[in-house]
Amino acid sequence: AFMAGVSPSPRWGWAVVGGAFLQAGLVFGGLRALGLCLGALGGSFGAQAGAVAWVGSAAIASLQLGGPLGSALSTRYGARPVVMAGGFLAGMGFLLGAFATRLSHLYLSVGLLAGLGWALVFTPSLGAVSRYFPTRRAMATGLAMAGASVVGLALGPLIPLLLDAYGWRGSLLLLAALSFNLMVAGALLRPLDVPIESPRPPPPRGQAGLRGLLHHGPFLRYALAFVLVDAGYYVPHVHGPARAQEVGCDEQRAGLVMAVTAVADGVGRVVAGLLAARPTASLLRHLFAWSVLTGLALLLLPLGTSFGGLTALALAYGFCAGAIVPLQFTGVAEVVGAGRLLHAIGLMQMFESVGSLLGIPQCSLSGWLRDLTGDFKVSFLAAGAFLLAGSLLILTLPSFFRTSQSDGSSIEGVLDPVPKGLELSSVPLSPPN
Amino acid sequence: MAAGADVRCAVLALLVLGLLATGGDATGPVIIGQYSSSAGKLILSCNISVSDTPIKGHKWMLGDKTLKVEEGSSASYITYTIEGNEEEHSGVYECIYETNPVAKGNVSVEVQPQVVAYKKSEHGNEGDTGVLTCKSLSYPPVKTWTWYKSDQTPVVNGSDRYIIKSTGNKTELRIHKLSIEQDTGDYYCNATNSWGPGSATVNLRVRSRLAALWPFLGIVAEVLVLVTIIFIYEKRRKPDEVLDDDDGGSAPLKSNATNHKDKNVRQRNAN
Repeated sequence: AFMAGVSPSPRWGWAVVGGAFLQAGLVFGGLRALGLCLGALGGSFGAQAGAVAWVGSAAIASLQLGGPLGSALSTRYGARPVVMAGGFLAGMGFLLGAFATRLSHLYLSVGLLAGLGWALVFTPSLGAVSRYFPTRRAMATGLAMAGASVVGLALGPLIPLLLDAYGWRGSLLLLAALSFNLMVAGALLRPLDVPIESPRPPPPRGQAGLRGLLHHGPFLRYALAFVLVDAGYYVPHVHGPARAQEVGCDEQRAGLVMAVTAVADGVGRVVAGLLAARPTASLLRHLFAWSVLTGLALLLLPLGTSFGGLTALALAYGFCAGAIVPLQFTGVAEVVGAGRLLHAIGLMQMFESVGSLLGIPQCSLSGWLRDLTGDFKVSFLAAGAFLLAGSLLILTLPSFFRTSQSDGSSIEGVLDPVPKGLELSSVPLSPPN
Repeated sequence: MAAGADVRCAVLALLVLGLLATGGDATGPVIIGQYSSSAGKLILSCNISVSDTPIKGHKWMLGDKTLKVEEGSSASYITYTIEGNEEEHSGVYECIYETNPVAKGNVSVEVQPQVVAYKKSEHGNEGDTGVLTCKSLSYPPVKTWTWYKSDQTPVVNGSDRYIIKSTGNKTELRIHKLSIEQDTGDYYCNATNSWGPGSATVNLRVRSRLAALWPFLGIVAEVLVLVTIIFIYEKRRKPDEVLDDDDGGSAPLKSNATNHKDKNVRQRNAN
């Protein structure tokens, strides 16, 4: 069929990946930078370190709880305006935070507002990437999510320099400016303009998509699987440096271990995406494999009692943990169909906020275990157990044992043209049940 | 004669013994502790005089930390060597002999205050509060703390914008409403104890509120430029699209498609 106007050329997909790469970097990098700035707050507001750290947790909670909002808004208005609005909000959050005179100001600005902005950025961006790469979703998502690793690594040494030169207020101001670049990322998410008439019946209302998912058994199991995964996933990130020092590494070496993990994480995201990009690949099976491997790596981590041993195991963990990321967001298409991918991601983010609550330092199960047993061995074992439990749940999904015909991606390829950018029909393409 | 001399010796011996006996009973074993410092080593020593019960071993302690344990040694003169000088290792060391009951002696290494700044260079933000901290970990503890500005003028607690909080081995100088011209510079924290003075220097730099403003504006400008470029590029690549809504188009499919943009899709979605 003839296409009206000019559809963005397939090459523009790479610009979209670039935009998504940038947003992943700024969202997760921004989160990390925020954590570092909070550390530098010290007693500025007469508050204790624990209370200050909750600002970061508020941001994470906002980001994840706002997931469904991001998907709903971008379904209605397209990704571009929503992401640009989100970028603006995130920037404003940091900007207001720079002028905070009380701790509560920080909770509201950098915590809630910036987190909300990020929620409006993250899910729609992944949706846009999915739209442009219907047959190689995992690869494109892996490349995009690698942005988080790259920027995260760069910010590690950069933020302390900023803090030293400008103080925490100045640093928040600069982070605000950096966050406004999310609007650049959003601008790149050009709506897809493909007007071929769809032979399918008119799709139901957008809301039905979200509500329908809440009753979708396999999707709920998938989301629960990741709640479990999240409970264990962040343990090495949060307690890594402390564990490294426990086995005798000094601060520098501990930092090196973490950097190595981050690099492996980034590489893992890209590699897993590439491996799963072949049309015959079953995303769920790949996901299962990588999450089992991550769980095993976590179980083995306590064995790393020398700098070399710990680094090697951390590298393995980082690679496998990174591999899970693109597969988590694209594998859900095999469960609910590509049509509901965007809503599914949003909803999943919301559920995941529960799991990540267990992981944040203040409520940390792993921290409590460590205090109970004296070192981090049991914490890592518990984390591995959570990972394996989540993997087992993935095994129970009906799509797991189907052939590739029933996964969203190949069917999606035939019916690809969907009107107006990220407008996703809410008809499931292959109801698993 | 000889017999008389013998008796006098015996009486003398008895007297001395008696003196020793009374002397011993009255105060218990006497331990003499001392130290000497040379060639980068600090040597502590203890010497115990006569003790009633045998010495089964000894140990050295600093506060509640055990430094060295020697079991089975019956030496009465014991030493403990530390690498370094007395300034770095001041304190009250205990030498403990494993007799019954245990006998303890002290070696007190005392020096002038060894003052150290928490951070040699502190940063503060204009208008905020700056905190300068010094501490002294040496023995004996500090009796008085004073602060001086770089021009030798003393900083008085409670005057102007200064507040000094000194507790034992730590002192804190807080300066409210930092001003770049007035407060930037070196500050000296002085400590005094029974052996003399000690001091350290802290340099304070006050950051201007506007310092981060220029990079901020620069990056925001960059954002605006990039967003504009992206949109312009898009418009130039599809000049038709801007007019598409009005343009009837050549094929029915095309017009259908162009109209879809805002209306149809919304409606379809609404169904």
